[in-house]
Amino acid sequence: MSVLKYIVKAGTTALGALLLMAPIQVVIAEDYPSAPVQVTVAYGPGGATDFQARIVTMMAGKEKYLNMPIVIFNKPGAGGQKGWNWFAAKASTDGHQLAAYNVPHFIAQSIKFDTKYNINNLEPIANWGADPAVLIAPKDSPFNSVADVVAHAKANPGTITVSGAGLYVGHHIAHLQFERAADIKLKYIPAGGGVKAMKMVLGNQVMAGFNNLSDAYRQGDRIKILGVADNQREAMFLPDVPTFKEQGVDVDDSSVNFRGIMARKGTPQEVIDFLAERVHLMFQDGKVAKKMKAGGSPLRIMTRDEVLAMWAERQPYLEDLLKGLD
Amino acid sequence: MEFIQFFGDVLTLEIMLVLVLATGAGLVLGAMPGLSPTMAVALLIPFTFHMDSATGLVLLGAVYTATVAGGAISGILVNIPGAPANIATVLDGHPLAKQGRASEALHYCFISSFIGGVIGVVVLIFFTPPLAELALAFGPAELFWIAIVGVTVIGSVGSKSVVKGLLSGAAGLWISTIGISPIFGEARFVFSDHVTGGVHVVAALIGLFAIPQVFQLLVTAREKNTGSLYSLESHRLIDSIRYNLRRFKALAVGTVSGVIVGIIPGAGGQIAGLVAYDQVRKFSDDPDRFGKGEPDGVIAAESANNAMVGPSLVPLLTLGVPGSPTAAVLLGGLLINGLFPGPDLFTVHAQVTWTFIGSLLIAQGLMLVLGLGLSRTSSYWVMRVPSHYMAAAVTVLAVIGTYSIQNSYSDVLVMATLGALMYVGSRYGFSAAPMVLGIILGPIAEDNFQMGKMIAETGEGMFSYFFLGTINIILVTLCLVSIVYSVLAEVKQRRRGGTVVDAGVDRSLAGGLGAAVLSLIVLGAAVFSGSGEAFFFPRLLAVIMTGLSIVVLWDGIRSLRSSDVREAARWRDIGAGSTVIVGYLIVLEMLGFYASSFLAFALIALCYLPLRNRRSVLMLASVSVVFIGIVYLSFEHMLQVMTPRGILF
Repeated sequence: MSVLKYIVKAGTTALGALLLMAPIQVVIAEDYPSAPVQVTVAYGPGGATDFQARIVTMMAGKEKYLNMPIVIFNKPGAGGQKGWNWFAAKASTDGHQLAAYNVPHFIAQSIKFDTKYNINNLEPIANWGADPAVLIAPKDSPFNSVADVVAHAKANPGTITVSGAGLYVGHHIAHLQFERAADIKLKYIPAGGGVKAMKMVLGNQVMAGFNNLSDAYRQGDRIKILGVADNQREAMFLPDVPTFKEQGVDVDDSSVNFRGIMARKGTPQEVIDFLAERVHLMFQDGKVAKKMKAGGSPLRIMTRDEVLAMWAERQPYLEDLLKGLD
Repeated sequence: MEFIQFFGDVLTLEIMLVLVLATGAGLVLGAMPGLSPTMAVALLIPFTFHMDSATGLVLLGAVYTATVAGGAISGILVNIPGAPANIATVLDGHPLAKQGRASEALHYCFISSFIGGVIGVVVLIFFTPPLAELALAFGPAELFWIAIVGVTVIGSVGSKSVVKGLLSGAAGLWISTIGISPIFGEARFVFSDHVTGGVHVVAALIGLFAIPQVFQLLVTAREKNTGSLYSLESHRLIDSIRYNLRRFKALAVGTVSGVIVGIIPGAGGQIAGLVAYDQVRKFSDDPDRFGKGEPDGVIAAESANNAMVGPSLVPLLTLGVPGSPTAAVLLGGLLINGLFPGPDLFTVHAQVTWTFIGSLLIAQGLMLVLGLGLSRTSSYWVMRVPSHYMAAAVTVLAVIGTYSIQNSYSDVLVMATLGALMYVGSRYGFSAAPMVLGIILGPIAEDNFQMGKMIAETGEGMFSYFFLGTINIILVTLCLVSIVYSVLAEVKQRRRGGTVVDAGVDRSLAGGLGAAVLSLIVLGAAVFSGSGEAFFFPRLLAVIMTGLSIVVLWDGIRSLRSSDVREAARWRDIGAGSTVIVGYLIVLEMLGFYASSFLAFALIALCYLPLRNRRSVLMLASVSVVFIGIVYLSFEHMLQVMTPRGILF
């Protein structure tokens, strides 16, 4: 009897607590943000994603944006999987823990690996930047255009070595798209990081490479930039380098490294709407633009709806592109 | 000479102030287990964000220099290298400290660091353009051979028995294959979510060195019940300087090795000290003295790892290609300040660049002065810390140090597991240095081999790619020389009456059995958990491990001599401590980091308190509060590490 009584009592208490919690949830959303907002970066400090995230969030404390500072929380490992797995499984859903995303990396990983995240359990807030992959070659290379590479590859299939940062990242996607669009066979060398991939091109250890537009731009005339894997040219830094499409190879923007902020699924809709509006504004701050330009990092600001559409488009495309591998 | 022209800019009040603070802080940070130079620079990058570019870079450069040297302090005094770069320093530095020559060892460490460091910066100032070209000549084949040169010295580094050293090294190489392979994109041996990202070198370093040391301290606390760890002789600084400068050969070998390893991108500047240490021992008239407190070991290792700093910036500043893991993080520091590596640095941004390089030179001097100043005091104080407090402090620092590398609780668990295994292993003659070396070299060897293989297959073929070309031929020759030398040395020693030191505990049957069982588990995992090229390396290593463990087992059977009686007492000694540590790890995330650290610290110290009365317990409580307070202030506020909050804090 006393056991039953206990259970009933415990049940009522739990119910009561739940009823109490419900209004609290709403209150949290109204007061949001009530504390500094943490943004998880799935890469180490000093990397491109990290320093761009620091730049674009530095104005968060202003009243017209979040009225609370944003702090960056680095959780690197396994090409971003450690940090994103943690975020999708353990982060809070009250909007005080957000994360930076890298497309196509996290989508490709969720397709190829057993990850805890995918586009369905994450909510984009806004996009701040886009770093397209570019095809580069050593400065004394015989290649001067995408067509030169295609011609050589057609004549000698599988002999052109192409370095890139790793597997299932933008560079790898660009390489796969290039092979498919031009109907050629190349040899992709995953170098374990963009800097190492760049070094292999600088040191003539590979015949060509895919790398970030911003890093290739910084190398100046120490390398040749043959083509941009995007839908349009990059106007600010490399206005003279034609896209793949202009050179007759149908490679679109699927490999472009889009960076932005996301929340966990389950975050209250009011909070997401609030963030989607304010974060989008925050990215457009003049100081952010100035500092991003000084760092050689291209900005591309997109709204939550645009990012939702972009994610939804990437998912089936990448599934198809990566199907042939393994 | 542009360097001179801009040198005046270094001598401003603001820059000098930053330099002094950064050097002092760097020495202290470097001395903490887990705060490697790479970590320290990474943690400080966000701070430079709000400074002007010159000041920010000066801060990062000075911290880089000072942490590399500071890592030797904890290595020499407590046998825990502050960073992978200081492993070689520990091999002879700690034995020196045990003999009561701690401050002398620290003198050698800072004097050699200074000499190596200055020469390294001079190389950076004068030879940058030609060396940058050389740096680019190292492709996958060359880097593979460099790693193999490192592998050839594994067996003889810091281990009494070559077979056990090789076995530890092979185990380290195998551990490095855990996680998602960057080349194959395949998960290997990810038996738990905690190792998806692999085993981080620094987490392994802390576990393998610090945890056995914690247990060792607990045993000491039970046995002696006395305050100080070991005695401290006074040694005059001037004598140290005189002696140090006379050890020209050790200094030269150390500095040259450091400069060369620093320039090569991807070779891992961490191995500079070990390469130098091994060379000096090989050139020595009496290699047997090494490992027992030979000053030359400290001199070579420390001059090498500081000589590495300047040259590791050569390819970074000219090509944006870092020469060491720390330089790689520094690249982020440059970019965040809007400075792109390349000719622009020396023209458009000449003032910032030369101020930075000039400040590195001054930082070396400050490091020398502060370091020498600290030598006597720090060894005096560390020596006076009672073992039970030391054990408690090392435990807490190891945990937070490991956590802050990647903000990862998984890393803490990996660290503790490896550490516990290593403590057991160390009772049977296995040692930490070869294992860490294996973990460092594994990815360099495997990734470069696989990349080289891919490139070779598109054209010239494996033989020509890996064996032809000047640098390859030099490196292959070095490997052969190193192997032949080791074999000859071993033969010579066996003839002289067998492996002298390898007796008693070293050869016990249990050690061999344990090693064999673990190796067979690894072999089973390597054979059954996957197939294809990605498992070629791990399988090869598992077979080698099994073979070596059979040799160890055979040695054990041949000398059936039981020494396990004494062991029993040891296990009882560390029982209470290990229980507290296990509990600590379990409640860490739930209770919150600082609350559980406080409890762990107080409980470990309480369990091992020699005299329990009102006064000593009161003392213990206040020490615990002060210690956790300092940890809290430095990690939470100075370094802004975000720790798990849990329900308390």
